[in-house]
This record gives sequence, structure tokens and C-alpha cells, in this order.
Amino acid sequence: MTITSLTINQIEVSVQPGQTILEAAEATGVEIPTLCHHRDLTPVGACRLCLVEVSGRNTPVAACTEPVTDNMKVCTESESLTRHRRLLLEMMLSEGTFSETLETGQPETELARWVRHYQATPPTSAETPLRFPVDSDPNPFIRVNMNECIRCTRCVRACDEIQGRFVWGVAERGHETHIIAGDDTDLLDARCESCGACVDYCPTNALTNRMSPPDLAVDRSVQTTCAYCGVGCQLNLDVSQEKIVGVSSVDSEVSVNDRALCVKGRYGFDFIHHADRLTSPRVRRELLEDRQRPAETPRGEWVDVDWETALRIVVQKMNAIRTESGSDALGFFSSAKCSNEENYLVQKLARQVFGTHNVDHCARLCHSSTVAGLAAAFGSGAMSNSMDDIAHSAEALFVIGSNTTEQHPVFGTMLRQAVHQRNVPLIVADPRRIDLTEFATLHLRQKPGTDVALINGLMYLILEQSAEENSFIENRCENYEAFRETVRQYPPERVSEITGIPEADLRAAAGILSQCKPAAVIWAMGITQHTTGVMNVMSLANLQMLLGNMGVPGGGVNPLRGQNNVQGACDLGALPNVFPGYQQVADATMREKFQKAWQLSAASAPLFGEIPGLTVTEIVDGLGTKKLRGLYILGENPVMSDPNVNHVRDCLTTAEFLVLQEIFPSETSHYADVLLPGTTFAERTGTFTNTDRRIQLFHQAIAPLPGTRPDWEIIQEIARLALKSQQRNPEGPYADWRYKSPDDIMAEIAALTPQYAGVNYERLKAGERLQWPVKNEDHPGTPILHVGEFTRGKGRFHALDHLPPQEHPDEEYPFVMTTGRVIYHWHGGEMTRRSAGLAAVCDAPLVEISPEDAQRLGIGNGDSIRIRSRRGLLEANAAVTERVSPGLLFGNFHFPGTHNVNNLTIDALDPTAKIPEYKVCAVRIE
Amino acid sequence: MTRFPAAPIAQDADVLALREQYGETPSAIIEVLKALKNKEEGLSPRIICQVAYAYKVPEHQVSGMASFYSLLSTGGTEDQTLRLCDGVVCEMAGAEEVRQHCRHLAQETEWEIVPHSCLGLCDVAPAALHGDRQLGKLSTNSSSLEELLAGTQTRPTALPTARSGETRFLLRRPTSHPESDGQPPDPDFLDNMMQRGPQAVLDLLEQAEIRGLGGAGYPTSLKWSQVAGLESEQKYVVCNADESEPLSVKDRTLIDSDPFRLLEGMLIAGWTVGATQGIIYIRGEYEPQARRLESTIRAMRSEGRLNRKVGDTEFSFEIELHRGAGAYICGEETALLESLEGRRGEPRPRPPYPVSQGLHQLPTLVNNVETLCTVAALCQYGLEEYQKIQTEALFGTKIYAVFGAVNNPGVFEAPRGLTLGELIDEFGGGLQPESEFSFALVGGAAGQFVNAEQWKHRLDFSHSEGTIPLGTGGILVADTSRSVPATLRDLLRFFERESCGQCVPCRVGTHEIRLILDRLLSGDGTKSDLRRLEEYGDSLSLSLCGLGTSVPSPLQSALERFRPQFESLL
Repeated sequence: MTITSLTINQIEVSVQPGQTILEAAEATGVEIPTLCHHRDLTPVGACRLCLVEVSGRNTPVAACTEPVTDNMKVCTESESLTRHRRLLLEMMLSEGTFSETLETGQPETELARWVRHYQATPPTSAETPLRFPVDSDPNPFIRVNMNECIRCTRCVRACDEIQGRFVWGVAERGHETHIIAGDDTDLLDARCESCGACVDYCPTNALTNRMSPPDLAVDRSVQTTCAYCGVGCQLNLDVSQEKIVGVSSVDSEVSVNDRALCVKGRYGFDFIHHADRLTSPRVRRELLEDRQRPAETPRGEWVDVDWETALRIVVQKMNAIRTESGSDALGFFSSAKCSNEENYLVQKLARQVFGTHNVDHCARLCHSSTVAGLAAAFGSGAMSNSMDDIAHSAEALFVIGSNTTEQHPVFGTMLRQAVHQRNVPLIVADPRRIDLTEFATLHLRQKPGTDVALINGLMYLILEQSAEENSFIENRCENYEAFRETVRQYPPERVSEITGIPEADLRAAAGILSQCKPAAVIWAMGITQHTTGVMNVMSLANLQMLLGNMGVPGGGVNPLRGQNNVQGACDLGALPNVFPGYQQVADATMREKFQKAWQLSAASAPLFGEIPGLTVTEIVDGLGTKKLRGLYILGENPVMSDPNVNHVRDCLTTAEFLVLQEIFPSETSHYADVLLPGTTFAERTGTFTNTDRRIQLFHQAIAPLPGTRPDWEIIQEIARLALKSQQRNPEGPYADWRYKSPDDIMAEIAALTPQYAGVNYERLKAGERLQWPVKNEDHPGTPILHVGEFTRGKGRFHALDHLPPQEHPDEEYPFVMTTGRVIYHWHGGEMTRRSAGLAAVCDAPLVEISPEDAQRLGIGNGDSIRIRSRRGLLEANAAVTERVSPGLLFGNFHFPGTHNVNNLTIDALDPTAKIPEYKVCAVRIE
Repeated sequence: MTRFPAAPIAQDADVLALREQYGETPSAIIEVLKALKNKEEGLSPRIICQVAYAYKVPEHQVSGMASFYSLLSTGGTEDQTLRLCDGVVCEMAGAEEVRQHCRHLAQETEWEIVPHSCLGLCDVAPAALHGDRQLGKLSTNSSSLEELLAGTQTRPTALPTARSGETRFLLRRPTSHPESDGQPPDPDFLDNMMQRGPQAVLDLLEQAEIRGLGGAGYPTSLKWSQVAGLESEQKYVVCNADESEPLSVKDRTLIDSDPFRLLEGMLIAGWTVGATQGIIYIRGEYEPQARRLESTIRAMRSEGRLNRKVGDTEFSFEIELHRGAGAYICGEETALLESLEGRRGEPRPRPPYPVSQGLHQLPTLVNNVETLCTVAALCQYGLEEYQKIQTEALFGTKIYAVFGAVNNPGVFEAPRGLTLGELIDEFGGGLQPESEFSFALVGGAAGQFVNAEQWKHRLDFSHSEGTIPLGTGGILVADTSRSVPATLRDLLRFFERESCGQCVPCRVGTHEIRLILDRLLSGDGTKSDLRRLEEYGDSLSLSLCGLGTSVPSPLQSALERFRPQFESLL
């Protein structure tokens, strides 16, 4: 490769050809002042501050846009450049009033820094009336004061090139040039998603964060992993006087998200210090008084107690249930919001200390069908490729049942940019006109619950075009013939009939998939939350095998995990059928392995049984039927998130003893007997595993709030106390509960979990990108699964037929209700409803209804409506929108009580994965 | 508070019909907006949004365009809008009185009187634009605007007979356009030229020393070779007909006189560089010329002149016409390309240059109208004929224009390398009676103020001692009744209004300089203002594009050569 040699300030430099002078200077450690430039954004050369002298050129050139040439002689500082730069800065200052930019403290804005450096003086004529209103936009997160704007357009480019929402633009020209949102409207009206990228990139205080005003003194910034979705963005928690006062982008290059964050990640942090935080253990009065609550009666009042009392009661009750009714009378809900270490501990607590496999978590409700479906097809149930790999290498994108830009916003922006910058064809299959459809080449608007037919139909057409990858199928797959016979039953006319998608669109989609290889298939709850969830997933596996899109960059099967650590919670065995690392409970060798590892004294009998335990929904049912007596919940909220919540409420009312480890009194805490105050991600350390199997640290930024304890410590304490009162001592090499810190737990995980064998805190702290399997301490991790061979050897095709959803609309319940989330809220809303900005921007439960239906029923936008299913009632506000087609409604589960759509949803389950059919139920509008 | 605006659906019937009519690529947005502006709703937020979603571009892109181009951002519907030219020539010809007169007539009517940057009608100053109609020699004695418009002569389209000394080479063919005789002229020379192969064309350009005639003077053969040398499935030839610089009416004259010449030039260019698509970007104020070119393209196409058999291969060339909407900056080639792609006309940083990454990032040859016409004429009449026209060391002709205080103002074609004195005296008919020469502005708005000492200096692209930069070939001659600072202020008002606003020195500098000049002219100026003028001038030379970097030329020449006029204002 050729190298370009030049000198910068007489220093000899060799760089890659095509680099700019600015890049060469940066590599040399020479700083050139810039304002409109940012390394993440397209250079525009507008501020001219980076002008440098180049010998042989009459006038200075802009270092940010000028490519280096051989033997170029660059001078970055001279008297004349200083004079030029000072005048340029003074010109910028003459265009507005920059009091907020220049006068507010640390850290200094970029403009303030250069103004100080070059001793530029603001013009004396600055008393002229303000050109723009101060604080001109009602956005609850972003404060706009265009009087402090230098028109560098970094906000415009950040919105275009990072977020892909295209909100900011430039209006008028010449001296009248200014920045506008949309067609000169307010930000939210211009469809701003409030990701805050524009604020992050603004070099002045024209755009600032309302929640973290620029004059706030930040004592330290702690890099950590976002605790909302499974994308796993890196961010800084800004700490002032031991409080989290803001979130900022990480300045070094971060492989997951660079500087990008979404509205929740950047602005949804204030729940941490919300007044509702639980800061003392609580127990019901009757427990203190040692009274038995008669079944089906409401629980008594809460009494704050000390930790010792609370933990003593927990251990006493659970030990008593175990002794009286056997281990399987207890159930454990672990948490996809908690760390890998904590999930490991919860399942160890269940299996080793209390002897039951009744441990599960909310992955049951989101991706259990993915895990089951992919395990059947490939032997391993996780996202096969990496997010950056898909964004950079996919030749086509097939997004089915994932509202990516709202639910995995930062990955959503990567998809938008793949379309925008690489012209990658995007096929979106979704019953709703979700945001991504705007960027799509094709929107396949299938009827809810017809995915198998749709995918079979696409494969029929792919076969018709002979676009199947025969060598891949022959060498790497099995059961192809049976599969093909079934697919041949799905000609486009039939599929169009079942799905409602025009034949021409089916053909166009199949054409794209046939011609643009590899395509990455991306899905989420729209595929999994059906009674046919496992079949849906296996269909997508079929598709990718047929096209030969597995094991290659830019392809793969890519289920997007919802919670920040739902992948890790599964990996670490918070599932009833597997030990950590998906080592089967049903497999005697695995049982023996963990029996030995966790061996306790006086345990000649096995620690745990041979049969897998119960799932989330089965445990809830079991409490209702009194088959189970006690439930320990770590950070989950089944009363919000389970289907048919009226049934859940009934069951939990019946439950004899319920312990809830939480940060807030949640909907579920009404049914708890003991509340143990845990901590947020800001107050402890651990690891999360994100959607592309990447294990990432999150760091303690502040001490746990007084009265709370890190969750892993609470679990450890319960285990110690329980074992003590059971009079059993740890004997196996990993039987003990003496972890000094989370990295001790990770060491135990690594020893027992082959996928995590090479993971340790040292490597993570060094910034290594570790995606499991990480087979040993020298193994670099696995960004792409199934290269060369599937986990199970051959990939297995499955012959699958379309089955209709459980519940159909009829005369009594004529609408189909489908469910999901909105960008501003998180699941049951416990955190986001306690975040002031998020609560302000989305303050009411919405049900989307088509304009046609709304008009027919006389419903206006924002009207209160009551919706009823066979199971319950939802009270919400109508959002009249073309996002849904006539006959379809869309609701969310962010708001409690009767405002929760899960009052309506059906608890019909997929027979294999036991995932409920959240996506389809029949309802009527009252 | 809760708002989730879903993606709007493009469903406005007008918008969809216009998309059907003008095409589905963002390139058409500018025309669609022009049409919509004249409808009842105008460019309302709803309409802007509908256009954005119809073209799948960001709303801010459409909104930003609507406020960028002056034909979109100013005035009401065009039938009730009178755009009065405030270019330097018109100002000298009494534009201020016309403005006052029209404003008076517009009172209590629906009419909007809008000042507009140079309309390219300097030969009929004071000029105006009403809808598509180009109006000249506006009077100040009408009793209503309707009467004024009815009584005003429309700009003459016929080329005046050659004046004494005029040497016609580009303009040699008898006035020919489809509206007059409907027949494209004899095309044999095109076949002959093409038979000799692309290299022969490049050689010819090099031998004839053809230079770009948009004002910059870049060697044409070099530019063509660069585009020809690049491998690409698609290349473009773009004709820059966005002539918007005060004092420049040459491109309009060429199109009015012999539109075939331009198309022939583009065809040769396409053939030589290996492009099959040509686009003419014409300023929005030149609607009659745009229509003329469209009918010329139709005539050429229907006669099969755009498809030629060269040797054994078929060469077919498509030419499209694209109208601007009022923005001088779009004459800057990268701004022009941005505008062609359906955005605000904001220049791109260079490099990369359009030759390698031009329209849609593909190799693109951008040439001025006069350059392409020169090439066509050269191919038709041959090198020998061209080189016969010689002054000193310079071959060939140039389209000049002399305006102001001369007896015989107007446009003419004459040999290159003439002196200022020759152009004024021999071609412009000398100064008007009882006028004393004070200064001339030579080369256009981006040209220089010259004084009597430079009478014998030659106009040329070189910047050597004893020459005056040729620029666009326009000359404004002023007598002692006109001051340099006032003329400079008129120029700065132009630059200020036409700056795209992207880079700091140009956006702020043009504005600040105009403010200072206003202050000086109103008697409120100070010594530090004069110093500030120089500083801003320095700063403007650091601008991103040619608009900003050319401001120092008139500014510094004025300050250097006519300093007493400025000092006398203090």
C-alpha cells in the first residue's frame, strides 16, 4: 500500500493517501482548531477555522476537507492564521448573543475554548435585539436557544447521518441563514425522537440538555452500559455531589454505539433518584406478628424493618415451605434487567440451596420461542451475527416483527443508515406501518399471525426462481426434501389470501432476497409472541438456510433481545430446563457436573431433581392452584408484563408467600409479603450480555442509596442464611457463597459455563470485545455463529404449515388487538414513568386505531376509549393513525391498572416454548 | 403532550399530479415547488410536507429549498408579483425611481413588488420580471401596474446587426431557432468531427487554447480529458446556463441567437468524454430561453440529430433541461450539482471535483454556455479559421458586453485580447456626451474596479501586470456622476443576498461589509470602518467557494484605486 509523506509544522508524517490534513495532523498529535468538523460527520468546511497554510498555495486551505498530497508542507500556526481565526470567531460572535456559551463553566464548549484561545472579542454591537426567542422549543429534553448558534450544521448532520431522523435543517440563505426543525416547526412535530445527538454534537450552548444544564458542575463521568434494551450502548453517567445528574456519550470509539444513544438511554436516568425508591426492607404486619394470612384475603399493611429481620423472615418461610411441601413448592423469577452474576446466583439459589428447577424469567415472554426454534434448527438460540456486521455488510435487510427504531433505537438508526448510506434494500414485514417502513423498499403488511404462510410463500417463490443455495443445502443441512414438499403448498395466490399481502409484493420481496445475498433476517416479538412462535422462528431459519445466508458476514438469524440482559439471564441458566450455558437439566452428565460443583454436606441425596422445572406462566398458575406456595422474584413485574393480568392478580393473591427484590414499589408489590430494596445499575457493578452476545461491564457510579443493597449481595446473604439454617455446608469447589465482588462470581461462571470460559473482568476492563462463545482466555470471542458448521452439526429444515392464531375477531369482538411498546417507555414503565421527561413526552396509554375505524365509530384523536376482551377491560386514549390498518388496534403495557393492554391479552401458549400469544387477541370498543 | 407523528402519506392530488408531470427524482422538486407556489394554498407547511413525502426526502430539505431560492421564497403568486432588478446596471439606469413608482402603484392592490438580483437583462435596463415575461426599459409614468406592464417592451430576442468591428464566430450562423425556421442547421460537421475520434476533439481544444468562459478560465481540454479518462458506467455533461452575474448577458444572447450551437457543443462534449446524458441547468428567470431550448432539443431529437452513427457504433445522447429558481450561487458548479440533485444550492468542498465526483457522485463535465458554443463553432469552422482571429498572442473571440455611460451599450462578439479603451471607444461608441470617465467595473460583479490609468490594459484571464481580468466579459462604464462606494455597495447587496450562508466569512463578511458601506454612504462611517473593510476582504478570500473568494476582487480594487472616494465619506 502506498503511503503519503508530508510535513506538518516541519514534523515528517506518513499517512494513508486520501486522508485529510486534519486527520494527518491528529495522527501526529498536532491540534488544529475546528468547529463545524466532527470526526463522525461528513466534513463541510463551513467554519473555516481549520485553515492551514500549504506551501505553494496562495490562500490557506481548510484542513478538514483538503486531502494530503505527497511532499505537502503544512503549517498550522502562524501570525496570519491566528489573525484570520480570531476574525472568523469574531464574525461568528457577531451573529448572535453567546452569553450562555461563553459564560457558563465547565466543561467549556468548543466555541468558548477557541474564543478564549484566540482572544476573540465579541462585538460591542451585541446589544441588538435577540434574533430568536430564548428557549424556543417545548421539547422536554432539549433546550433550544438559536441565539447561540453558529450555523455549523453539526446538529443537522448528526440528525441526518447518525440518527437518520432528518429533523434539523437549514432555512433561508446568506445572513438570514438559520437552523430549523422540519418545516420550521417544533422538534416533536418535526418527528424528533429526542435522542439528543444534536445536543451532543453542538459545539455551543445553542442546544443543551434541560436535565443537565451546562452550568452544572460534573464531578466525574463513569462509563457504563445502558440498562434499558438489549443493544447495550455504552454511555457515561455524569455524577455531581454523589447524584447522577446526566448521561453523556462516550468519547472514545465504542463498537456498539459510538456516540449514539436513544431518548431513554440519554434522558431516562432520573428514576435512579426518584422519591419512590425503596430504601428499607418491608414486611407485612402479619409476618412480624407471626400470623398466617387466610388465603384469598388481602395482605396486611407494610412495616419497614431492618435487613436482618427481613432476611430472617424470608429464609424462615422459604425453608419451611421446602421442608413442608418439598422444593418444587417454591418458584424463582430471575431478572433480565439484572446482571449475569445475579442471574447465575438466583438459579444457583434455586437449584443448590432450595433444590428446585422452578426458575425462569421474562425471556419466557419474549424470546423463548426463538431459543427453542433456533435450537431445533441450529443447536443454538441466539443472534448469529453482530449489529455492526449487519449494518456494514448485509446486502439486504429483512425485518419481520421488529419495530427496531422504537425498541432497539440505536440499532434501528444503524439500519436506517445502511439504507440511507449504502442503499441496502430493506423489506419490512409488519402489520403496522412502523417507522422503519418509511425507509423500506417494500412493506409487507401481513395479517397478524400469518408469518409461517408468509415465509413459506417467499420460499416458494425463491424456489421458483431457483435462487436456493444448493451446495449450502447439500453440505450443511438436513431434512430438505420434506421441507420443500411443504413449501410447494404455498403458491403466491394462496399466501396472498392468507396474509393479505398482494402477490406482486410477495414476488418483489422474493426477488430481493434471491438477488441480494446475504440478507440479514431480523426479528423480535412480532415473530415470537404467538402460539406458533417456535414455528415462526423455524421458518426464518429455513429461509436463511435455503438462501445460504448462515455463517457469513451480513447474514444470519438475528433475534433482537429486549431487555438489557435477557441474553445473559438465559445464558446463565435462569431457565427451568438448563443449567448455565444451556447445559440440559435432563442430561445426567450435566446434573452430575453441577451436583459436584455445588456439593453440600449432608446431601447424600441429589441437590435437585432430574426433571426440568416450571416456566413463568406455569409458576403463576401453580400459585393459583396452590401447587406452589412461595415465589421469590428478582426485579420482575408480572402483574404488568404477563398476559391476562387479571388471572395473574388472582394467582398472586392466592400465593402464600411472595418475596420481591425491587427498586420501586411496583404493581406486583401489592401481592408481595416481603420487599427487599435492591439497587439500580448506577449503584453496583456487573456484566450484561447484549443482543449480539457481547459481554459488557456496567460500573458502579455512586454508592447504593442508603438502606439499599446491591442485588447480588442480597441473594448471597439469603443463600448463606438458608444454608446455615438448613445446617448444610458448602463442600463442592463452587458450592460456597463467599463472593467479595462480582468478578468472583464471573470466575465461577467461567469455570462452569463453556460459552463464558474465557470471560473475566480483566479482559473486559481492557476493552476487549467479547462475544460468546469465548472458549478460553486466549479465545477472541465469536462475532458470527455457525461459520462452517452449525452448533448441532447439520442445520435442520422443518416442514411447517400455517396455523391460525388462537382467537379470531368475531361479531362480538370484531377487532384484532396487537401489542407492543412505544419508544419513550420501557416495559411495565416502572422506570420510565418515573423519569420526568419521558413521562411528560408520553403521559398516557395510547391505543392506535385507523382513521377509517375511528371515523366510523366517531372517535377523535386523544379521546378516551374503553376496549374489552373476553378477559378484561382497557381504558386508554385513541391515537388515530395510519400506522394501523382498519380492523387492527395496537396497545401497550406501560401504564398500570386498567390502562394496561395486558388486561386484554390472551394466555394461550405456544406448545413448545410456552410463550403467550400477546400479538393477537379479539377485542371490541365499547 | 403525547405526540407520535406517524410518517405522513403523500396523498395530495396536486402534488402527486406534479410528481407525475415533472418526474419522480428529487431533481424535479424545484419545479414542483414553483408550480405549487402559484396555487391557492402556496407553499404551506402541509404542502411542503406532502412534497417531502412524495419524493421521500426529509421535510427540512424541501422546506430549506423553499426558503433558499428567491423565486420560491419571495413574492406571492407570480401573476401578482413584479420582480424589479436591482443589479448595478439597472441601478445606474434608474432602478430606484422605477421601484418607487411601482411601489406607489402597488399600494392598496394585491401586487407585491420584489427587488430581485440581476435578471440578466442589462441590455434593456431598468428591467423586471413578471411571471415568465422578461421586461425592459421600464418607465415611470404609468397610472397602474397593469398599464405599466402592457406598455413595457418585452426584451428583444433578435440579435442586433453586427456593430462596427464585430467579429462573429460563435454568432456567425444566421439567427436560427426552431421558432423561426424549425429546422436544425446542417449537422455534417458533427459527423465529420466525430469520425475523427474523441482524441481529435481534445487535440483541437488544446491547440485552440480554449478556456472555460464562465469566468474562471480553466483550460477546457484539460477538464474534458480528465472526464474522458475516467472509467464509469455513467457520466454527465452539464451545461451551466445559470448566468446570474451582474453585467453578464452573454449566455442568454447565445441561447436567444443560436440555441442549436449550444446543443451541438453538448453533443460533442458527450461524445468526447463518453457521456450519454446531458443536462442544461438554466436560471429560473430565463423562462423564454428555457422554452426555446426545450423546443430546440425536441427539434434535434425528432430530426434524429441526437442519435448518430459514428463509424460502426451508434451514439445516442439525451439532453434534459433543468430550471433553477433564483440563486446566483447555483452558477458555482458544485452548488449547481447540489441544486440539480434537489437540494439547497450549497457549494460542496473541493476536492473532490465534479470531473471525478459530480452529479450523483459520478464523473461530470460542467461547462458554461459560451464555452460549449465556442467548441461547437470551432468544430464547425475549424482551427485555422479560429486562429485567424488573433490579437497579440490570443486566438478567437469573446462575447463582450459594455453598459453604462457609453453611447452604444450592448452585447457583441469581438476578438480576445482587446484593451479597455478599445472596447469602450471602438465598440461601445465612446463615452456619452458631456460625460467624463470615472471608473469601470470589468468582468462582472466579481470583477475589478479600474481607473483611467488602465485604459490601455488588455482584458485577459492572466493576472499579469498590464492586464485586467476578463471575467465574464461584461464592462460597466461610469462617469463622474456615479461613485465607487455606491456601486460597491450595490455589488455587496447582491453578494449578501446571494451568499448561500454556509461558510462564515461569506455569510457574515458580505453582510458586515454591506453594513459598513451603508454607514459610510450615510455619513456615519469611521476610520475603523475602513480598516474593517480590509480585514473582512482578507477574510472573504478564505471562503468555501468562488462566490465569497471573488468579493475581495471588487472590494480591494475599489479600496486600492479609489481610496479618496471612501475617505471623503468619513
